[in-house]
Amino acid sequence: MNIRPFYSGSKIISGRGALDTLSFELTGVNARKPLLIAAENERAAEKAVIRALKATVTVIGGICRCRNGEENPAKTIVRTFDSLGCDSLLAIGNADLINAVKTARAELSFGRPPAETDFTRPLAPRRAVAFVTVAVLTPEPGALPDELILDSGARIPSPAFYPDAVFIDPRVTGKSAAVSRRGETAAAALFSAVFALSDAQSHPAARACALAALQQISEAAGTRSLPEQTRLIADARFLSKTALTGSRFVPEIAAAPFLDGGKNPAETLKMLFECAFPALSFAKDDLIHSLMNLVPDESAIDGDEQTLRREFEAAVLRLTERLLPESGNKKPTRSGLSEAAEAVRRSALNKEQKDGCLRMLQNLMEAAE
Amino acid sequence: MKTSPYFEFQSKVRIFAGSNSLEKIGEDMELRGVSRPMILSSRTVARSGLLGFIEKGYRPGMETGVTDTDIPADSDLETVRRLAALYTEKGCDCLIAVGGGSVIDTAKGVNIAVSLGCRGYDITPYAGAGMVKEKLKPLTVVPTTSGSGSEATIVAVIADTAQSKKLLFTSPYLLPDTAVLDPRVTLSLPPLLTAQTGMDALTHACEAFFCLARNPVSDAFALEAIRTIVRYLPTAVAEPSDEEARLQMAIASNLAGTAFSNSMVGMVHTLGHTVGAIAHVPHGACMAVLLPYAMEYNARKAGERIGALLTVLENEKAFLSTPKEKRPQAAANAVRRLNEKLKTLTQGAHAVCFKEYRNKNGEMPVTRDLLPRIANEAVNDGSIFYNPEELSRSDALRVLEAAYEGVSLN
Amino acid sequence: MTVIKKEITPGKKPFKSLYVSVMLWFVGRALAAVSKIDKEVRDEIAALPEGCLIGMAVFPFGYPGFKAPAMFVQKTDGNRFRYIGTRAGSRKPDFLITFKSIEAAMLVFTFREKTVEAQAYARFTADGSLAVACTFVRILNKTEILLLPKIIAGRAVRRYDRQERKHRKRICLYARTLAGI
Repeated sequence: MNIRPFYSGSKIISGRGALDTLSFELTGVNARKPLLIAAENERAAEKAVIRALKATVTVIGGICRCRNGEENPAKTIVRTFDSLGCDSLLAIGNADLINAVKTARAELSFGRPPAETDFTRPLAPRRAVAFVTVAVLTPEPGALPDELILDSGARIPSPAFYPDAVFIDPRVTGKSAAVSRRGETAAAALFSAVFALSDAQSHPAARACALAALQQISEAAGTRSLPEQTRLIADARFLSKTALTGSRFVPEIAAAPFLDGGKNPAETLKMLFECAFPALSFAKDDLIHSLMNLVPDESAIDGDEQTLRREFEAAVLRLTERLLPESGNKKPTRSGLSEAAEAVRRSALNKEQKDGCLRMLQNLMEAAE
Repeated sequence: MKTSPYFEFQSKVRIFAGSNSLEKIGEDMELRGVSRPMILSSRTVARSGLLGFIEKGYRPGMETGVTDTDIPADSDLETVRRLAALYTEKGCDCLIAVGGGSVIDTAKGVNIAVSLGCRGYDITPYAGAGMVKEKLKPLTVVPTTSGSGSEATIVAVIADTAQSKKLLFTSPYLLPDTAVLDPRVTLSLPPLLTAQTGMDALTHACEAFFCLARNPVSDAFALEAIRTIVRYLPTAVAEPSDEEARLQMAIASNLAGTAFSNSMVGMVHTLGHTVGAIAHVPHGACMAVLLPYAMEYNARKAGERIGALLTVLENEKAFLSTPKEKRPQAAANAVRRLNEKLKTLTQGAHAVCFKEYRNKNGEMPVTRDLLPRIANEAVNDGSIFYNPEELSRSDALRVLEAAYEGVSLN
Repeated sequence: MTVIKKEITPGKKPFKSLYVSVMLWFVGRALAAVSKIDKEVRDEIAALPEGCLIGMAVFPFGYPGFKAPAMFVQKTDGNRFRYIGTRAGSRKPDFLITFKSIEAAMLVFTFREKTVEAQAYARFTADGSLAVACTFVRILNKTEILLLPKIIAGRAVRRYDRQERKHRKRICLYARTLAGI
C-alpha cells in the first residue's frame, strides 16, 4: 500500500500571548532584524507586532506597506530587504501579500526569481532567510502553505515555501480588516478540511490536521468571544490548508475560484460539496471522530456507515448555516459551469489539473441538465 | 473539547510511508542536494540486507561514504566522537540512521558534532534546551521498531560515561529532515519486542491526549495513532510477516511520536523511566504495565479526556453504552484487555504487571523492596510536570504497588 | 507600496519589568527564608548538589547589552538557599527557567496562569538538570502555598497541600523575606 508523503514545515504558535514569543522565536532562527511587510489595511496588526517587540532584542529593519492589488510587490520587498540589511521577513496580510513575500523570500534565498527557478530539481539556498507570518483573517483561498502562485497563475509546490512559523494571536485576528467575513473564512476552511479528509491515500497526519481543523471550526461557531473565535478560525484555515498539501489534487478546490468569478468562495465550495458529497468516501473512524466534535449529542456517533455519512453531511451543512446564516441554496447553472470550464482551459493549471477540473465540471453540467 | 488558550505545534519531518519507501531515500537526498551519506545502523540490520534497498534507490553520482554498525545499546559521547571523525574522514555530507532509539540518538549527536564545528567533536557545550540554534546536515531516519517515535522528536539522550550521567539535548534543529516508514524493516522484530514497543507507542499517544500540554493538533495525531495501534498491534504480534500490520504500526508510532513531542508525557513515563533505570526493565514493558494505572490515577482531573479515549481503545458503542463517570475506568480496562491479549499472543512473555515480568535470564528484576526506591527517584523525572494530577512519593509508591500486584487502583 | 526605511528599535516595558523584577526578588528572598524555617524544604535541598545554582529570568536575559529581570539562589551549608541577586556572575547555573517574554512572566506573577500551566503552554524554557528542576518546582510550590492565601495559592499550584502551623510559618516567612534574614 502506498501513502502520499507528508510534510508540514511551519511551527504553529496559537493563542493568547502568541505574539509575545515573536522575538524569542526569531532569535531561535538567528534572526534579529526582520523586514516587516504589512497590508495597508492591517494597521492594528502592525501596531500589535511592534508593541509585542518591546523589551526584546528584535529590531524592525523597516516596513513595507502594501496596498491591495499592488503590482510586483515582491521586487520592492527584495530591494528593500537588501538595502536595509535585514535578515528575515515578517508578513502580515491576506493571501496575496503572503504570496508576494514567499516570492521575495524565494528570490532572496535562491538568487533568482521563482519563475526562473526549477523547484523540482535539487536546490541549495544561497542564504537562509527566515520567514514568519502573523495571521489575520483571510477569506480568499490563496495558495497552500507549500505553494507559490506565479504571476501567470501557475502554482509551484515546494517545501521551501513554508513559513518557518505562523503566529495566530487573538489580539491580532480579532482586529483583522476582514473580521466581518470570518464566517466565510471559517466555511471555506470547513470544506477544505472535508475534502482533505476524503482522500484515503493521504497520510494519516494530513487527515489528522483536517480533523483538528473541523474541531476548531465547530468550537469557533460556539464561541462568543470575538478574538478567540477569530483565532480558532485562523488556526483552522491554516490546518485545513496543511491537510490539503498531503492530499491528492482536489478538483473542487482548484475549480472553485473559476466559478462565479471567484466571488463568494465559501458559498461556491458549499455548492460543490453538496454536489460532490455522494461520491466522497470517508473512513468510518474519521466520521466518528468528526461527529464527536461537530455534534453535541453523543448518540450521533451510533449507527452504520451510511447513517454516519448522513449525520456527517447534515452536521457540516448545519455548521455552514451557523457560519453563513445568509447563504442561500446555490445550485450550479449550465452557463456558470460553462464559463468556469472556459476559464480553467485558459488558466495556468497544468494539464493533469485542467483535466481533473474539466471532468468534475462536466459531471456537474450533466447533473444540472 | 475546548482548545487550550495557547499551544505550539510543529512537525517538520518529511514522512515517506509504504512499501519501497527505502528506495525513495535517494530521491529525497537529491532534492536536498546531498550524495554521500554516512549510514549508521545495527549489526542485525546490516546483516539483513535492508541497507541494500536504500542503495538501490541512489541516483547517479550517489554513493555511501561509510557504513558503521558498531553502536552500543545506549548512545554515548565516545561513540559520537568516533563516528564524527569518521564522517569527516570519509567526506560524507549527510546522515542516514537505520535502527532503534540508540542509533537514532547517536546520529543526532554526530550531526551536532559535524555540523557545528565542535572542537574535538565534543558536543557537551550543546547539552540542554535550545543550545543548538542552526540547521544541521540532512538527517534521514528509518526506525526499526514501532515504538519510540524518536524519528519525530527534538530530543537526543546521550550518555556521558566518564561522568556517569545522561545528557539531554533538546532543540527543534534535532528533528530529522526525513522519516522513512517501510514495513520491511520491522518484519523481523520478534513478537515480544513488537508488543512492548507497540505499547510504548500507545502510551505516547494516550499521555499526549490527556496530559497538560495537549493541543488540538496533537490530539488528532494521538487519536489516529491509538485507533491504528489497537487495530493492528495484535496482528503484528501474531503474524510478524504481515506487511500491512507492520506498516500501520510504523505510521502509528510516528504519529504518536509527533503527538507526544508536542504535548509531552506524564506519570507513565515518570515511573517507567525509573523502573527501567533501576530494575533494567525494557521501556515498552514498563509502559504497558503502567498505562492503565495512570488512567485510573488521573481520572479525577482528566476524566473527560481519558473517557473520550474509549472510542478508539474500544469502539463508539462501548463509549455510548458506558455512563460518563465510568468511562475512564472502562478505558483503563480496555488497555488491560489489550495487555492480556498480547500476553496470550506471546505465550505469557508480555507482562501485565511487574511481578510477572521476567528478564532474559528468567529472573524477576522488579521486587517489592525496590518499589520505595523507585518511588523516591521517580519524582525527579521531568515528565512529572505534565501529569494532570500531582504525584508525590507516597502516591508513586501506591501506584507502583498496585502495578506490581496487578490490581486496580480503585 | 509605502516603504519606511527607518529602523524601529523596540521600546521598553519599564513598569512590567519593574514588577517582575520585584516579584523575582521576592521569590528569591522567600526561597532563602523558607529554607530556614521549613524542614521539608531543607530535606528537598539536601538532594541538590553542593553549591547548586538555580535561576529564574526573562528573555532576553543573557544577551549582551540587554538588561532583563532575573534572580539566582544557591545552595549553601545546612541545606539552605542563599539569595545571590540578579546576576550569576561568570558561573553557568545548574538550572535556569527563562520566560520567553515579559508578558509570559506577568501571566505567572499576576497569578493568571499557574506555574504548571505556564510550563504546559511552553511559556518558559527550562535549561539544566531535570532532577534539580523537579526539586526546585516542589520547593517553589511549597513556598507559594506558605506565602499566599489559599484562594490565590490554589490557582498557582497543581495540588494544594495543607500545611502544619501555616499561619505562624507565613508570618515568619514574610518577616524573613522582607528583612533578608
